Order: sequence, then structure tokens, then C-alpha cells
Amino acid sequence: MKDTNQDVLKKFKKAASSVKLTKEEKNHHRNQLLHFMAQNGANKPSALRTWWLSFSHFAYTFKGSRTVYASLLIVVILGSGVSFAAKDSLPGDALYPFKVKVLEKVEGTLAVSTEQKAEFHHSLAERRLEEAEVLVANNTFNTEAKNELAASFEEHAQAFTQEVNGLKQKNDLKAAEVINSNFAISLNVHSKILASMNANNEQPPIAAKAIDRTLESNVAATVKTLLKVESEVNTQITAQPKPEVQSSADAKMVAAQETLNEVARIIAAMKESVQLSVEFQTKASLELQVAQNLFNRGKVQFERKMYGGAFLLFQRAQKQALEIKLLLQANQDKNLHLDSETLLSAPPLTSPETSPEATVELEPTTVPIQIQTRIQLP
Amino acid sequence: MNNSDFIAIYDRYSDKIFRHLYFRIRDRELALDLMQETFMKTFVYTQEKGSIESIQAFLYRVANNLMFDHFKKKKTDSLEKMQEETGFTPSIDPSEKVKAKIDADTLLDMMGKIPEEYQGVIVMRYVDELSITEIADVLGETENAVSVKIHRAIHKIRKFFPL
Repeated sequence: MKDTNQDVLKKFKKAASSVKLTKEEKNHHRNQLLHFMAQNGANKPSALRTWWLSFSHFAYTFKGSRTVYASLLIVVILGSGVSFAAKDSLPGDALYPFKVKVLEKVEGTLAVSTEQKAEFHHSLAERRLEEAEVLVANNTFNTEAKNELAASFEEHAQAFTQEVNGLKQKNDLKAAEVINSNFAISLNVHSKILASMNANNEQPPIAAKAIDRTLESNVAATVKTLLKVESEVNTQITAQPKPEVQSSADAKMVAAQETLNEVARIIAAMKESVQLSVEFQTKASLELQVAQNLFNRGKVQFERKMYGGAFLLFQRAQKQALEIKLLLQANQDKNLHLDSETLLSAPPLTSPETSPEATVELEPTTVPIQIQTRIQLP
Repeated sequence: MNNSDFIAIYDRYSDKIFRHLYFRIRDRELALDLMQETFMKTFVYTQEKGSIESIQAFLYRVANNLMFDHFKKKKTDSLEKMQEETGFTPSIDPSEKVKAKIDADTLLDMMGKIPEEYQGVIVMRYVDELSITEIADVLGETENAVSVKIHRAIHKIRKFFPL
């Protein structure tokens, strides 16, 4: 019987070993998984989960001290209402110091990995800009608030850069690229929003002018740094062995396609619900077409096995689509009184160094492209 | 567990999970989809709950659950009925020889003929090459119960598989 079983085992092994994922399948699903992981990491916890995790974290940290534990429990229970109220507080509000010095510190303790820490600093730097936008809209952006927000923004922007450098050192280039790129897009969108807010005010308030000298210059400097990092990471990615570059390009293709589809859905939904003016809709659609054309060019490069160039084109397509998405969302916020013309007319976020034409293995495309260069919108 | 760690797990186990699913459901596209979903669900679990004691056993459990959920959704009476509906698509690496294809087809054919309760243990033991202990861990059964199932399954297989 034992011999018979061994025969069965051998036959099974032989037959089973012929069934496996092809290399393409394995890479494709790997890339999809990477994208899913980037979108669904633990860095986006729900509010309830945030509170529970923060409580658990402190409970664990102070598990030896019954007094601290009990005090913390009381603070968490009694403070939950306060924290809810503090969430939307602005510089100058009574609850703002609680928001920045307590709630955000607790939030920071939940970021454990380098990626999570980078995303944490991204979210707080962006939060500072959102607060500035609300203050400008309310014409209450005084010097004190300006200084406070500028300092906090700079602190988180620098911390973000350090974390991204950490990812680069660990050779986690894909994560570094995605995280860095997302932050750059976000900052560029906020720059446009602030510019649009100024343009929309016939007589910009004095406080708004102050932004130009402080916060906006900080944002511009940070964007410059991020684009430099992006260029470095792109160089590293495209200099890898061909299978790795192919894998990166494949992942970026999947991600870019998903983003393009998502933005197209958003535009269609807004069109249906008449949330979007015809003018804005047309501009957004044209911008999306430009992104789509970049994507199409990337596919041509990919099919020609020019993976470095394909990666950079997919990256540009995705960045542009993401930017449109964020601008569409911002445009829905009527409180900001945005000037839609200014909002979609600013130049795209692309450094010359990251242009695929300026780097690797690009040859003139023969595929008909409706829009060869970025359209100058009226 | 960070993303790099999890991708290393994918690199190590994706072929095994795919093969397991494929020999259970005999539909390549569906096996690919469920394999992908298995890793996604496991990733989400690691993000919410932290580390997993035995990642291999956990992946097999998730894969099995997804497979059964799928058939439940389809309202099929059994895996055999599903096979009748979809047929089975021989899934051979292009580089393999014709002989291997015939063996794989025979194996798939045979798998469709033995009772469902034995298919799982047979695939885990002889396709996935899991130990009795590992199979017991996946199924949540005793090692003795698993051994008995395998023993009975081999008796059934003899009818269909040339030994």
C-alpha cells in the first residue's frame, strides 16, 4: 500500500507541477495587489477605529500605570465629544490647540511603518492648507494664524521628505514614488485653489496677500523638492533590470487606468446631477482627454517593450487625472468661492526631469493622437 | 506587516494558492480571480488584526472560504454541477510538454469524479504538498481525521487513476 501511495504522490506531483501561473499572470496580479495595498493600507482608519486604536495604543503604553490608564480612559470618554467639536476648529478657535497638540499627536502614534508616517505628515500638511483656505474664504487669515500654519506646514513637509528618503534607502521605490507623487499633486491642487481664491476676489483681503509671501512660498518650495525626489526615484526605477521596469510600468498602467476611469465616472455623475457648469465640465473633459492621450502613448511604448518611457507616461497620465479629480472635488465646495477658470488653467505639475521625452527610450509615436500637447484653455 | 513583507508572501504562495484553487474548481479564470481576492482579503486582515501565526494555513482557509462563497452565490448544488456548466479548461504552462498536459488533464478529470469531501484533502496533500499537520491546521480537524480521509480518498482514486 505504501508503494502505491508513493506512486500516486509521484504522479500527482508530476501532473500538478505543470499547472502554474504564467510569468505575465503572476506579474499582473502582483501589480494589482500592490495597487490594492496602496489604496487600502491601514493608514486610512475610520474615525471610530482611529479612536479605538489610539485608546488601545495608549492603554498598552501605560499598561503598568493604573492611574494613568484610568485617567486616560476618562479623558477618552469625556473627550470624545470635545474631539469631535475640535476636528473642524481653526487657528484662533479655543479648541484648535487641543486639535493640534492632542488629537493630531494621538493620530501620529497610529502611524507605524515608514509609509504610514509619510502619509500622516502628508495629511497634516494638507490639513494646514485646507485650514488656510477656509480662513481666506472667511477673510480671517490674520498674521498669527498665518505664522502658525506656515510653521506647522513646514514641519510636516520636512518630516514627509525624511520618511520618503527612508523609503528610498530601503529601496522601496514603488511606495516612494506613489507617496511622493500624491503629496506633490495635492500641494499643486491647493496652490491652484489659493490662486483661484485670490483671483475670484476683486479686492483680495490683506490676509490673502500674506499667503503669497509665506505659506504659498513654502508650498512652492516643497513642491520643488518633491519633484526633485520624484525625478530621482523615476531614474532609479527606470534604471532597474528590464523585468523590474516592466513590472513597475504594468503596475502604473493599472493604477493610471483606474484613475482615468474614476475621473470619467465623477465627471459623468456631476454632469447628470447638474453639479458641474458646462464650462467647467468642458474644461475638465479636455484635461482628462490630455491625460488619456498620455496614457495611450504609454501603452504604445509598453507594447514596444519600452517600459521606462511607458512608466513615465502612465505616471503623468495618472497625476493629471488625479489632479482633475481633486480640483473637481474642490470646485464642489461652494464655501471656497473658487474661480473655475483659474482653477483649471494653471500649468500641470510636471518637472522637465520627469518628462519621458527627456529620459529614456522614447521614439516618436505613430499612433494618431488627438491632442499632442497640453491644450491651452481659454 | 508592511507592504514589502506582504508582497514577499504573494511571491512565495501565489502559485500554490492558484494551483489549489484551480484543481478544486477547474476554471482557470475563476481560479485567478479567487487567488487575487485571497491575497487582498488576507492583506486587509493583516492590516486590521496584525500578524498571522501561520500565513500558509490562513491563505488556504481564505481561498477555500472564497471558493465556497462563490459557489453559494452561484446557487450551484455542487462543485460537480459547476464543472458541468463551465467545463474545465486545461491549464498548462506553455513550456510544458504534451505529456504533462495529458497528465494534468487526467488529474483534473479524476478530481471531478471523486466526492467533494475528498477533493480538498487530496489536492492539499498531493497537489499542494502540505503535510498532514498542515492540512489539519487548514481544515481545523485532527491529524487522525485527515489521515483517514486521505486513505479513503486514495481508494476512490484508484478507480479512475492508472496506478
